[in-house]
Amino acid sequence: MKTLKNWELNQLAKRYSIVCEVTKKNGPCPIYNIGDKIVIDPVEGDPVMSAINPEKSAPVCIRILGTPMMSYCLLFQTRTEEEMENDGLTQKGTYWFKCPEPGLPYTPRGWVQFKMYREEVV
Amino acid sequence: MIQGKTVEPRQIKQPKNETRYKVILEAEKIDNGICPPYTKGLKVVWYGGLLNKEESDALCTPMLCTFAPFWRALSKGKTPKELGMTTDNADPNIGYFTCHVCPVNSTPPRQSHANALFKVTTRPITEDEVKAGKTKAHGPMAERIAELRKRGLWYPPY
Repeated sequence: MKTLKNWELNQLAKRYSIVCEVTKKNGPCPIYNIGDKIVIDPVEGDPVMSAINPEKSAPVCIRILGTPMMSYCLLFQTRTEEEMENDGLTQKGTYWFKCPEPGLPYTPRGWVQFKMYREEVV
Repeated sequence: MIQGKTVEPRQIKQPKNETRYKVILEAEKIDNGICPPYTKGLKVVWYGGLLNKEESDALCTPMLCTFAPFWRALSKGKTPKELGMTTDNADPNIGYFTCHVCPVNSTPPRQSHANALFKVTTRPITEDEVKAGKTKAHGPMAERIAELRKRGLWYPPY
């Protein structure tokens, strides 16, 4: 009988949606307003795949696709509750990142801050 | 004699004589705290598609991912101004970019470290740099690639 590893057990037990929510704007941004969300849902019928849900999400700016949004998605979807609590930069299951715009006086557009967290899919 | 169909000699598609650019990221300002890999003046340098490890001081993987959407257009000659990386009245050849880390005071305590601001400049790669091997692939297939390039069968031109 195959012994399941921790991450396999975790995935069998729970699946997560990842939410990136705009919490702060430091200058003008033509795409996002505070409260806008990008939602990444697990794909039905596959144990590991996930995708941005266009119905629940604001438009996705091409310039934030390179940020750790993508790598933290996989991390958040595979970590146990204990691992999430103990990690340095993701304390209490939250990760903060911003878009790569510097804002004034360097660029006319300001930067947007996102709060990233996960929600269990029931 | 069999009358066969005339076969055209194989057309070899020659690579375009495209100019590649050197892209330089230089840490300009570390905002309000400590950034683990960068202090002011440290650089990351690309020659076209190749990241030059000798001229680069520190390589922060998350920062490189964040910069990735800009790198391709810059290495093909688009100016920072064309990509919106500077203001209207500033020098179009100098742009600015920050990493994804939120400035320290914008998050709850101990959820962030310092944000790094980088100055972005580009310039065409010179012939001397090509001759010095700055744009050459250094992997195990380097000789094979050089041979294919000589025959016009490799892309890009360097």
